[in-house]
Amino acid sequence: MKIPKERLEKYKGLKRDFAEEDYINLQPIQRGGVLTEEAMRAILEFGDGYSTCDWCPPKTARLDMITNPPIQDFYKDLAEFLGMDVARVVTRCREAKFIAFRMLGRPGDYVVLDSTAHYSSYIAAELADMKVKEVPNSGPPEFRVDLNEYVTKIEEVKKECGKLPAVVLLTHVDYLYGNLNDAKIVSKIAKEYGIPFILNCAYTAGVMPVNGKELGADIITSSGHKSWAASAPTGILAFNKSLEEKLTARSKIEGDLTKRKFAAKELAMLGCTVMGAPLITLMASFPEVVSRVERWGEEIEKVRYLVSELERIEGMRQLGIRPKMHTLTHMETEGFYKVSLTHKRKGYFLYDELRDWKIVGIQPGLTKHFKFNTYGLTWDQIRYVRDAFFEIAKKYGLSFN
Amino acid sequence: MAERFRRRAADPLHWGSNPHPGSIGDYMGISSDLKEIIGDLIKILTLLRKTSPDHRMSESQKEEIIRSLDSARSRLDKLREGIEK
Repeated sequence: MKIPKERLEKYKGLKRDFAEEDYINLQPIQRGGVLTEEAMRAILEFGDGYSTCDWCPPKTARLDMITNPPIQDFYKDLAEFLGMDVARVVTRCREAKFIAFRMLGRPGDYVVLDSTAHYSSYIAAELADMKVKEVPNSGPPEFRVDLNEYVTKIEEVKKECGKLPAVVLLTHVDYLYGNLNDAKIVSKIAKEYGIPFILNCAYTAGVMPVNGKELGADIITSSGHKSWAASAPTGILAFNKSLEEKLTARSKIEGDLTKRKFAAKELAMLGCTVMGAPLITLMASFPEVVSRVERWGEEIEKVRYLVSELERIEGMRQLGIRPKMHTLTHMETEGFYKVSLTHKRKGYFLYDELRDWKIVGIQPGLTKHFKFNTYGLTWDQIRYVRDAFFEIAKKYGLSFN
Repeated sequence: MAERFRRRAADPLHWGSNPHPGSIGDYMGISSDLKEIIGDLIKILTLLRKTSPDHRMSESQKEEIIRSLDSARSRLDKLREGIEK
């Protein structure tokens, strides 16, 4: 089919409304994925489709064996950085979870996971034909996952099925409240039962120090575009040697006519995985990522400062565990909600006001509560955000503590 | 490879030995020079991300931008000269 030229016009000169250069973007999922200078430069070199594969095939025809650009070295450095033995770059964190579920479990098996897990953890289990057993949380205002309850849930599965769950998954920092969970508690439980332990580090690895060995993780999953200053889609699957055979099992299929085999290809990765811009930005940003996790303490200082300032505004209260241990933050905002009830733009007024201040990323329409992420903002930008909220609060007559 | 071409283009022994008539063969480093210019501008963009949205800059940030602009300008001039030759 031929598409009329005028319909194609909209695909030319694509521009983003909220460029990082012009706005402060507080969108919780975007802060850790902002590209580094090196990554932007690398896109110029390797943005073309298969450009990372100029020197492929190497001795073994597989992406992780390519030495120029240094993909092979990168995989090793990535694993070491995470305190794991082996790493693979896959399309997304959810794919990493799916691969782990699929290769370690069987249809009908259980995954025991925290009740603040991201929806993609559930869907990955569903696609792997597995069931989930949720570990409860305390509800408002902390939403703290009772990590010791993993034992209860494992026992429930054992009673119900006569066998243990296939895997245990913990979300290191959840997407809702930014609560940091103590992985060591769950890894100890998983170890006692001999169940592989997956630590979902979508919001942690790449922005804060994560050492899988110290935390006792058998598998770490993460997201390049969420936390590693990489283009989407990029996911990370890192694991211990003990699981290598299962997770990187090779293809065994054979063509019935041609007798073709693909024994070098890793089955769960479907052969080669991510290449081009996503992989190359992940690699190019890696030196900065290695260095920025050391500055995590300052990121925490900044978010705690902003939270304490915002809580001076009438009706504003941080939800989740206090004090903040992560930059993803959920605020309850009764004062702004009260304003929205009589405002002609209703719940959208706050978004409009913030946008006038060139601040975006707070979900349009929300005033009762909303999330934001301050990761990577400078102190000046943090103060700018505070000032904006203060001025908006004053404009609508809210009081201050 | 681009670097090899660039060195070759900068080597006076090779001046005038255009292997591809009709091309700008004496300036084989054009693409890598161009990418360096874009790199200078990317440096500025990266800095702007740290000062958005009001772009209130410290003296050192201003100097950094000026350095990158000067570098880009000088590379652009050389690139232009290279093409005109």
